Amino acid sequence: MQTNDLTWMIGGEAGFGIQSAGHIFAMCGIRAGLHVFGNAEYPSLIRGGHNSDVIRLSEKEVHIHKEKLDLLLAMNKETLDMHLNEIVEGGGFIYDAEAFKEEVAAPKGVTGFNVPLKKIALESGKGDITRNTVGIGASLGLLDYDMTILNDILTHMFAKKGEEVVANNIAAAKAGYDFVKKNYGDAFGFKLKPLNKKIDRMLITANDAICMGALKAGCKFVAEYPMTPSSSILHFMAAHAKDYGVIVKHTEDEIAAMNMVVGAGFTGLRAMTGTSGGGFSLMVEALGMAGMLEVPLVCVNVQRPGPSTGLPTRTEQGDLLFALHASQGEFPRIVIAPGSFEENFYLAFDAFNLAEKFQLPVIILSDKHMAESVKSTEMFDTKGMKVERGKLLSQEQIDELRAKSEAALKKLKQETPADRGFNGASAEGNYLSVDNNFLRYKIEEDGVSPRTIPGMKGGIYRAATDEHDESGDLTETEENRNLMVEKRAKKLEGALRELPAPVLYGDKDAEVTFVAWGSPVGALKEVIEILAAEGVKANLLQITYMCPFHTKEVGEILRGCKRTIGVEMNGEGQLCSLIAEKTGYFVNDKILKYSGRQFTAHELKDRTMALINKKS
Amino acid sequence: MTLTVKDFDTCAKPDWCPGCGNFGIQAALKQALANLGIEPHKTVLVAGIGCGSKMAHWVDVYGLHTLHGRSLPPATAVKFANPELTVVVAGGDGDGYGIGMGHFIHTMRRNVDMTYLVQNNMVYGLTKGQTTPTSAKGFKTPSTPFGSIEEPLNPIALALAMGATYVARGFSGDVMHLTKLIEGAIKHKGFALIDIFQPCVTFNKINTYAYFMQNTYKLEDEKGYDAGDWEKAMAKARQTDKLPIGLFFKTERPTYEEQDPGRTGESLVDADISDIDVRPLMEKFM
Repeated sequence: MQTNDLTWMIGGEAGFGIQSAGHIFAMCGIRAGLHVFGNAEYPSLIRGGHNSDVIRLSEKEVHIHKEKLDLLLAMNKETLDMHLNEIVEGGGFIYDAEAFKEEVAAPKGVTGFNVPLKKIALESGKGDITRNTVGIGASLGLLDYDMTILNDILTHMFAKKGEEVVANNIAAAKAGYDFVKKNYGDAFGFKLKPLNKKIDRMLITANDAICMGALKAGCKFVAEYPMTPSSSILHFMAAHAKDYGVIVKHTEDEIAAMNMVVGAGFTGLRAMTGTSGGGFSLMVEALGMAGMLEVPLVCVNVQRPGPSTGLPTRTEQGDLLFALHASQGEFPRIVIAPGSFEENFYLAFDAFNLAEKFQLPVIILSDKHMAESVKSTEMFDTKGMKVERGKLLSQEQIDELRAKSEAALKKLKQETPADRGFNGASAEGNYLSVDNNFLRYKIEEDGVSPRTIPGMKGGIYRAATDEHDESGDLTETEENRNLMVEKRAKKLEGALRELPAPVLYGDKDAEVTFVAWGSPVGALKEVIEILAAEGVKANLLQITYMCPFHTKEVGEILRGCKRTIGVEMNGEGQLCSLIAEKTGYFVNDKILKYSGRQFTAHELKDRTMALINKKS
Repeated sequence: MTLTVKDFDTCAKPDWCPGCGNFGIQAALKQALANLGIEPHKTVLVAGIGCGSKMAHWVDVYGLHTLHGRSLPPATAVKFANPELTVVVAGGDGDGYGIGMGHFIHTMRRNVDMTYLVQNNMVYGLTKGQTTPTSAKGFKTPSTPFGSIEEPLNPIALALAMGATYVARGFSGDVMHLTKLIEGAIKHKGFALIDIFQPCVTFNKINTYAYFMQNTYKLEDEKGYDAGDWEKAMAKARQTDKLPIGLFFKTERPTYEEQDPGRTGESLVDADISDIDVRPLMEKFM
């Protein structure tokens, strides 16, 4: 008997509620106080095709689905064809021989539970649409779960659709539950028992976490064009636009989206866009504009496999080097890669602070695996989270700076030809141009200039994508160009000082050090435990900040490791390349995957062991 | 507030060619802003890239000099973020009707409250004289040495079709007339297009000052012309033997920004973001 450690899968045709059934089953785990991880795999089409949703439930925290299934709920024959051989010995599958029009032979050690899902749905659920609910009821019957919790979830979920829909689903679930109880009793070896203590966990995707972080940070403007797997950011923000006072614009294309975000940032709003690689490609010219105008903004790139349209609904980490270098010329940007659901929340919040403090674009690199998987996540602790707006001036501060600058300006006007603006840095302490406007791009020690926004009296300036002087007006002199390039670059020095350097996770004295970023980090934490059980000591270096890069710290850590293995969901080992470029250190081995499907823990363990055995 | 053109002067002087039509447009814009008494810090002049777009540096208001063809999305966001600001956009025909066409169409159907001045000289100036979407068929340029094969675009007809709520055409050689059109456009609540005939004295030897003086007439001089009649406006837009200037069409329609569900008050710029409570949001996911 195995209790509270289960991998369950529902599979069927797209358009038949596979994902909503997955959600209901995952919520059963949440309400039982268990940890949940759910991964949805689906093709890029609206109806038809094979959809599956894997939900893993455990008393321990889980970061990744397992490749082996304990219980499979097959809504069609194709599901069995594809997944029957993935069931563990002692596991089982639910199928509908009547609807499939054939009996199914169970593999050795696996039990088939024939349940007339369709018939029950029509009779008890008053329609075939409840077939997935019957399947959940049957699953929970085998697992001996508390049906009052399921009824509560169904009531909550279908409340908007009316009492009749709620009643039909409850009846369908009960009929499925009763059928397996009557016909199969307690034959199944896996059970789910709700824990007694109540635990406040959310069932969220990483995209949800990013949106919550953005709202907490005071994001007031979102412009986005739909693109899998980032669209749920647009949907989330649009759904909450009214409650939180956010302008959410579905634009004509990603070019408009990024350009709008720059306009909103210029006007003083905290602004964000979300997209995937293809959309990000269209945004890069305006990304450079944000760099040149020194406008704060946040851009989320939820990666999917490329190039071009690639595998639209699958996962990859192929945009790291692109994000670091996107757009012509050189300008500072901050690139952050969260490695967990929690980090997506906290780092999205930080991204808005960093964008304003350093007046630059911040890119968050996520991926489909995190963005569309669900995970049980503790409620975020928002205590002590502080909105920091950097050198954004208030009207009073502008007035003060202007008063202080007057003497300096007088002197300047005598010295500088008034018709050409500046050809270099103005006097220290002066914040006014010859036009009596504000020196928005004043050269300061840290490269960050005090910032005004339209509507502020005495704050007038011109933001220009051409190279410009301290006032924002155009000039092509060498002296000014050098000063401005250096000013902008300097901002990253300050940012690097502020960002926490990476540290080793796990045993300091390990045989193997994994080097990873983004969503594989979660799986690697499980791999380390699995390897420990086999007598291999492993630890993990997670890189979160790609730009600016902690060159010194990363180099020192890696040079102190015995054997390093880069683990990335791409074909080139882009983080390994970045590390080599920055530190001169070459990671010993790489475990790479580019099939569009996420690493599982056991797969990583096997590939790690193969590397160890090959070399030693 | 009483203002004069001087309040919008900058120390730096335009670097346009002597005789460039942009001087007239710049003068008309400053005069219109002064006549309307809008304080300089309450206006944002957004521009694309091109000779005319440099105007953002030579009118003393907040300026946002963006990318080629991309002036309208940032301008839209400025207005969405702070509707109390007056938003004026300036750019050439290549910028707005060529590379920026997609944004042009969508901004009109949204009816964002802004004034869009298109400096239409029917030629690319800053890249040295290539054909643009409004160049006449047969126009010979370095990119079309045997003459342009395409039919020219009709911006007035397009604006009418896309639901622009203030559609006008001006001529940079008639600053007084253009000033009135700009004043009307800024006062108008909604998207206002002013397509402006603007001679490029260096690269366009066909559409010259003399050409426009001979071939244009004012709609207001035509007895009984009604700018509220869309069908008549469309007929005028399609006239090619003589080219009408003036206000073709004007109507009232709610702006996008006043209908946006996310708008809670006058300006989101003033919203307090210091301690936003996301707990109710988190509870929805439990």
